[in-house]
Amino acid sequence: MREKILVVDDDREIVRAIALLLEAEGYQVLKAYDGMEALDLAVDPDLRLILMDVMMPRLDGLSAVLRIRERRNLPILILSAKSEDTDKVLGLSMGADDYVAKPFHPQELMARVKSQLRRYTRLGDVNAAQTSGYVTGRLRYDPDSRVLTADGEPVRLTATETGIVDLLMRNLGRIFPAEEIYRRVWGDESGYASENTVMVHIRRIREKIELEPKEPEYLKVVWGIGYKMEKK
Amino acid sequence: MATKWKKSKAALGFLSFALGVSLVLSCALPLISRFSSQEGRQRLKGLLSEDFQQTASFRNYLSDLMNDLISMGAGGPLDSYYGYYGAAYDEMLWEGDAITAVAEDSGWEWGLSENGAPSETDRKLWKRQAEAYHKAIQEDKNILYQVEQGGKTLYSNSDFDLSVSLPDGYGFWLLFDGTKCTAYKDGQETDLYGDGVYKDDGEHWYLPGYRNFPAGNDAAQVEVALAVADVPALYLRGDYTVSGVKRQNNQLYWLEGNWQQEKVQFRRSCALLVLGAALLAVCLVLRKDKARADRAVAGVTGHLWFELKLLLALAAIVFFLFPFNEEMRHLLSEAAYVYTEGGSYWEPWFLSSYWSQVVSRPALLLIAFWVLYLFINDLRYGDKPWRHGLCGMLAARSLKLSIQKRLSRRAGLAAAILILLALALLTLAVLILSINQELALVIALPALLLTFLGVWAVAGRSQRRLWQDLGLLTDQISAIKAGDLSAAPLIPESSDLYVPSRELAQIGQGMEQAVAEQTRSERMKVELITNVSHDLKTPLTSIISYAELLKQEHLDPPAGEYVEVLSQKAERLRAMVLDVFEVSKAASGDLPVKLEPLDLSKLLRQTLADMSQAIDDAPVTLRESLPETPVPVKADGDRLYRVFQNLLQNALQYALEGSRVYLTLEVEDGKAIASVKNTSKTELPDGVDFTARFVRGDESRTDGGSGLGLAIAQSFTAACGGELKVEPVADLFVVTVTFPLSDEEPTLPS
Repeated sequence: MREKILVVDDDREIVRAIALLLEAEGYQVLKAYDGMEALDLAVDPDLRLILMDVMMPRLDGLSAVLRIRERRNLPILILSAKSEDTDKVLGLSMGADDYVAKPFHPQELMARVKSQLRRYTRLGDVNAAQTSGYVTGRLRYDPDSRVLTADGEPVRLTATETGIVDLLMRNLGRIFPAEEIYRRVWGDESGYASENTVMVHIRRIREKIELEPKEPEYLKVVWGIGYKMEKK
Repeated sequence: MATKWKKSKAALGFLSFALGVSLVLSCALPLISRFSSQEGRQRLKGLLSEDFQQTASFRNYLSDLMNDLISMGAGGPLDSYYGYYGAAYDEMLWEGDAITAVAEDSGWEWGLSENGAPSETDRKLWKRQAEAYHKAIQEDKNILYQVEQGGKTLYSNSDFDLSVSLPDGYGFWLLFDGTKCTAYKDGQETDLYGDGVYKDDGEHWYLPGYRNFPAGNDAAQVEVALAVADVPALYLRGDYTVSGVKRQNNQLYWLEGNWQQEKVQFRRSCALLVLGAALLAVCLVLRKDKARADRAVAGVTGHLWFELKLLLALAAIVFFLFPFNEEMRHLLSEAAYVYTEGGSYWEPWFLSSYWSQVVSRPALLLIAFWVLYLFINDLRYGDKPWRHGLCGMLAARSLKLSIQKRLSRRAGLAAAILILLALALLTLAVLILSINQELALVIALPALLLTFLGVWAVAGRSQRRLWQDLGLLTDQISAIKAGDLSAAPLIPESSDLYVPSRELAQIGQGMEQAVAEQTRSERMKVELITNVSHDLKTPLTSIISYAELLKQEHLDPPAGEYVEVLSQKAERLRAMVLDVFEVSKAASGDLPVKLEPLDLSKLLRQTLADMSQAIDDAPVTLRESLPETPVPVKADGDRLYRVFQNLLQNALQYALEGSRVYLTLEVEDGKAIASVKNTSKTELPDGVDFTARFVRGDESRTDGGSGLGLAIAQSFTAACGGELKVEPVADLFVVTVTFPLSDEEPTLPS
């Protein structure tokens, strides 16, 4: 059965474009053009995900999210032309699961939708296994099997990449200078030319785990200090 | 160095003037006043001669002594100064008018005098006088004498027969033979009478034997011989414990001593005079420098009240004129006589003869001179000196604000009242004091004290009020400075400071309005930008999405290529919109930054590593020179990364193909200086601010960046507390980013 997604935006052309893109990926799309319509359609029990614009007539997106959250537990993505950090935080605190700033890349939007759906549909078994391993947002690392999963899907990593992931996932939020990563993963004490080498691997890991490698959410550079895995 | 020399030259000029004038005044004027009279000239002559026995004082003393001795020999009275007052003072009996003087120059012929023949009582008295005198001076062996009458020795203080020869150590010999005197000095006879006519000019010996001063009949039987010691010695000492002072005895010794002393003083005075003249000559050479010093002195004296200076100057003028101008003195004394009730008049103290003596003293002369000099100097070089003073305070013309005038007038009035009161009370006190001292103590002094206290209390109250108001005004200023712009005036309306306080409050309110206005306009600006960017973003979202959808249609060429172009341009538009948004926010100071200690060297290395792909792909070589040691600065890491990312991108994009791009980081004077240099592909235009928004080196360029890269880099650097400068040199494009070094090392939060 095709998964049902509700797209809400007061701009009909955008709703249509997103709908077309989603349908091309094989989803079934419901369309709404303001918050009130969104509330009416959100009662559909088969609904799996909502894409919600913020600034809309009648009822704005954030209020709609609040109202829907009272009844439904399903992933909601905020689409907004406001890209300020405060707006992002506000949206997430209202109960949204993710935030996509306009104008977005269609590929990025699709990746986020897929990621949310995977997490949502696998919520049951993910919940059961949550007690073991290190978890941050969509990422989970099992130190025993040395396997990293993103949205429940195993990520294929090289040995060196696994070494870096192992170090950073075990110490979520802690900043490691390149020299230390190099020393602990490569086992090389000289630390020479570590910055470039480490950065190359960091970039490769990002491409495998981040939805938008150019604006990473998890594997971050702390400029002037080192690298860290964001704790979410 | 030059100014130091100039200063010391001015000081030298003034110092030589001050010393020179002081020396000349203190030496020359006393010398002139002392030696200007006839007697003074004689004294000067005496001082110039090497031999005491050539001096007028020696002549006068010896003449008087000889006259007395002749008189003693003739049984007459002692009428010389020394004989009459000096020797007889201690022991003779005073008998009123019994001692009568004889007319001078009349000789010893009492029987012919107008008083008639002397009585027996007179003769006895004269005899006792003579004996007393002989007793008083006989021990003074500086002068040996021998008085004979008719070949019989009456008085002598020597065993030696002086009429024949002299003992050793006595070189001067004066003889009287009954009609004339003869003098021998060291065996040589000296001329005593000159042309034989006596003149009271100090040059002549006052001895009988002149045509107009004969010895007279009573002295005809008298013979006197005197021997004077070469070196006078002290034979008699005053016995202060018994009966008064034997002051006139041992006269020669003291006269000679005084002469010696005066000679030394005279020489010293002359030497000082010459020195003073020399100093004045130096001052003449340095007169321009001295004028500078005069100006400086006028600056100092300018602080004094003009009235005080005027008073002092007038006093000095009066002092100056007194001793030298008899007419002036007379005029003033006429004008100044104060007639009292009894009809007798009281001479002002400053006209007394005592005072004219005092004025002729060098110290007072000097004081008067300097007072006048400073006064004239003040008038000449001072900046309107009459403005500063009591009258100036009362007029308060130079002051602009009404409050200044008011305060100045009040202070002037208080001072004037105080001075007048003090003067009135002082006069009262003097008057009472001269009448009855006890009454003065009882009435005048307490009255003086009470008045002072009263004035003090009244003046003090208004002062205290002013101080309090000043404190309140200061509080108001502090409140406004602390941010309370609407601080109300605290000072009551009756105060002098009410107007400034009210105006200050108005300034505060004006500022408050301005701040509110500015805040509002800033907010509006940011809102406007936010709205515009939102309005741009929504259609852009559609464009990008539909371009993507078109791409998925896999259209046949050339439509497919067109779609590709559309997609690319849409992407660039998106980047630009985001950049505009950020740079606007940064420019309005609305950019949130999180300043943390970080290692700038490491940040640059990370940036290079992050951009390694772009660097490898660019047709240029990157040369880096980064220190191995940490370069700690305080900045927002994410923003600073954007700064260098933009700078490097810029350099890679606009650098000449095959050339080198240099990235360096240096520490200098507590600053971290990073620079990016590249050789431009195209000629760099002159006079262009590259950090301005939408400016590019090549105006015609249509591909590539938004033109916001440098603007973003600059605003971000500024927001982090650094400084970004673009300094193109010919084709070399140089950007330097400077940050102050932080003393905090970057920490690794766990």
